Amino acid sequence: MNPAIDVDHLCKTYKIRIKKPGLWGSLLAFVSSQSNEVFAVKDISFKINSGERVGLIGENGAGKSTTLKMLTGILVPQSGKINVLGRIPWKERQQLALNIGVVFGQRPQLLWDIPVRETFQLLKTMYRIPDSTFNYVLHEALHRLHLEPLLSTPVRLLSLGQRMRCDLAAALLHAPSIAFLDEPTIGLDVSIKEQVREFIQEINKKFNSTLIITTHDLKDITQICKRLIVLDHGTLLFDGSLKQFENQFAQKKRIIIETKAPTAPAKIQQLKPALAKLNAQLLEIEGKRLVFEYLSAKCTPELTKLLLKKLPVVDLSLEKPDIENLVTQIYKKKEIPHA
Amino acid sequence: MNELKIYWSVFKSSLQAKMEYKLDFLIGMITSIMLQLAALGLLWVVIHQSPLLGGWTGKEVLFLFGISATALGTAELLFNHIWMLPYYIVMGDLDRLLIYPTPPLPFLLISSPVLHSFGNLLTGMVLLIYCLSHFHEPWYIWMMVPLWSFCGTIIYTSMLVCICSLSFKFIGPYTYNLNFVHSLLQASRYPLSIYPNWLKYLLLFLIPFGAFNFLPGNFIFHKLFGLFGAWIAPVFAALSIWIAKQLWTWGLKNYQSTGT
Repeated sequence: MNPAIDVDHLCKTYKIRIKKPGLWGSLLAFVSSQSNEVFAVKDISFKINSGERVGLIGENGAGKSTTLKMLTGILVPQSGKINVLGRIPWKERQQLALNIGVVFGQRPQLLWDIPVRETFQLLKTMYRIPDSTFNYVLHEALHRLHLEPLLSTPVRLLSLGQRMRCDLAAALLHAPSIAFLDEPTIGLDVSIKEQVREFIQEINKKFNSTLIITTHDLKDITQICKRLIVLDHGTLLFDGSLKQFENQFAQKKRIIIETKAPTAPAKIQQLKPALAKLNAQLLEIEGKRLVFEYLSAKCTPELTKLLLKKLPVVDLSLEKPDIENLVTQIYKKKEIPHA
Repeated sequence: MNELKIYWSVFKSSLQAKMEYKLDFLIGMITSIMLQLAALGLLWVVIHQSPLLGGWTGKEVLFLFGISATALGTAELLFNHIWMLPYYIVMGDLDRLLIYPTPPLPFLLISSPVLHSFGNLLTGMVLLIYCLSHFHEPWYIWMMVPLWSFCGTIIYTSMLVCICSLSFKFIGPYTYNLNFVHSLLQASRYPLSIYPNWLKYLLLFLIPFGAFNFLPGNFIFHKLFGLFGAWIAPVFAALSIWIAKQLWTWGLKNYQSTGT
């Protein structure tokens, strides 16, 4: 079976005009043709099978949105190949649009002046949605996202949270084969986020659609996705299942202890050789609080014993980093810690 | 067919939504009629000084005023959102139209009618009816007038689209370029024969507002150019749609969106 999405050595650059500061600089830039090429996406390849649920994460400016825009046909790639549902997105954008659904969390999609209910009807005509699908998704949306009271409101008067929910319902109304959700929970409160996730999961289960979600809220991903793609400065940093991600990086564990009194630096120097033997190191000292990091779970008993013996410990806890911590670490280090 | 249905329902719903603002509608109507009347007042002053304007009598010039006003009114009613297009391009808002299975440009154009267009339409129609009945024009001229006026709408909008397509590559919300086109349309309310050659030829060939206005007028009142004057408007309309479409497609390939 062909993959639903096939991306091969994809690149996209932006031209940025070189401009000196100030008004005179602007005038000069008007006549000079000097420009810098900046990579937004640099040589990315991946395949996504139909029915997969993939989280796409990365810092601001990592190239997530640019990738999504190329996948949906909004932007033309610089080089490399993209194939979505057997089509080349930018060449066959309109045909592809019938089978994909897109939400841009940062931008309202619905027509400004028209009430929500009429927008939904319009989309029904536009996508030629069969009654059964339309009624099912609409019912789910009304029920799970509580849209009923919003139906007769013009889009312009909706609050951010209300508009996001309507946008999401609109994007999934035609039960698309692939849904691209770019920050679908941005700016929403915790309970609405929960509703949004449930709705996405429900529609995904019913129609077995492929999901691509970009987000800065990792809960969206742990709750919905099975696979994770991490981008950094336009390059692919990680691609694999959430489990793999955790296994690969969560081997580093932490022991956090609290001592009776602040520890003297000399004492720590003394400890160092013993720690090194156990592949452990002191990560941070904050008054009475000490954090140690070590590689293998096998060392836990040894290390605990050592610390209890050498230091006046009052409290001790073990910590296995969660995905959020791991991702923050990766962003900080800009490299994958070795497995 | 499905697409026409979509455009119609977008148009209908937006119009209904706009109708809710009755005061806005009223003020818009009055303003656009006042603007037309002011221009007519100026014409009256000019005609008072010299009875012939580039070989045209005042009453003949009313025909040009009428066609321009109805063409503008129809454009404002159907395609007014063109004025927002540069902002859509620069701010990256075009994204949301590109994810729909409908051609984005007509969808965008039709989605925000303005009601003060009725003011221009009304003034234009009154002028045309007054002028044509004054000269006892035969029925086939009456039949041609809506065609000329609609060709005017098409040519005017196409020119605006051409200018907008340039903002894909040369980023900047250049609505003053659109204003330039608008001013040229207003200039075509007077006989082109009064203008210096460069402006005359600009309005005949490059931005061909003379094709639906000055040339048909000559056909009616001065029996110049023969049938060429009567039928050149649809030809130019088709041509300008084609050019606008080419430029638009070229522009869309250069669309950069924004970082988000």
